[in-house]
Amino acid sequence: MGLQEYETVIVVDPDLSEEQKEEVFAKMENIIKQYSGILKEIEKWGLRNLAFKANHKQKGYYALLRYYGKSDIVEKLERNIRMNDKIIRFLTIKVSPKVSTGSSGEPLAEVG
Amino acid sequence: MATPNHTKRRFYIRRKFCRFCADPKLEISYKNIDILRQFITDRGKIMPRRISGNCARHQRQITIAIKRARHLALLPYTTTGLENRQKREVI
Repeated sequence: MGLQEYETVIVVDPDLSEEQKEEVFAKMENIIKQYSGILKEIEKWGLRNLAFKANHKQKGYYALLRYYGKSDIVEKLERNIRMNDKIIRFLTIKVSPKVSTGSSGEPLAEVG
Repeated sequence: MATPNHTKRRFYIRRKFCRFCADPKLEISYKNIDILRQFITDRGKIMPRRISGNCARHQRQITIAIKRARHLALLPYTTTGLENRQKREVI
């Protein structure tokens, strides 16, 4: 009851190896599962140029996590992201089916 | 010979319209950078409504989307920084 869809974009350090990147994603997945969330998908945008230097990096590996969970899941996930120095930037958006600003929301009832 | 310019209006005034009202399928999102890029100036500032012609509602949504994209380093906050000056020298 009361599951909300969220999406989090993370910008991962581009200098990491493939395995290290997978490790970061696996960690995120674990945290979501740990706090009884459902991971819908991880959309990997891949390596992109940053518009400005962030953490002394010119590039970043972008990935979008879509998941369902209770409101506390964002807090837990973001705390973990902050402690993870492999992640340069992150942004979490609550996906509301009514508002189109975040993303094309699907009705929550389908996933339940 | 009389030129038609004297009688007619010299500049054709094009009515601006909100592109997002005209096309409801056009989604405003921080992920859609190509569209957001059209609403920032070459200095990286958000274009005012009087220039872009957006309606108030969609301008609000665009503003939020651009700010989100900036946070993720998808769009620049400004282009007058040191790193860009260096870039210009290279070019």
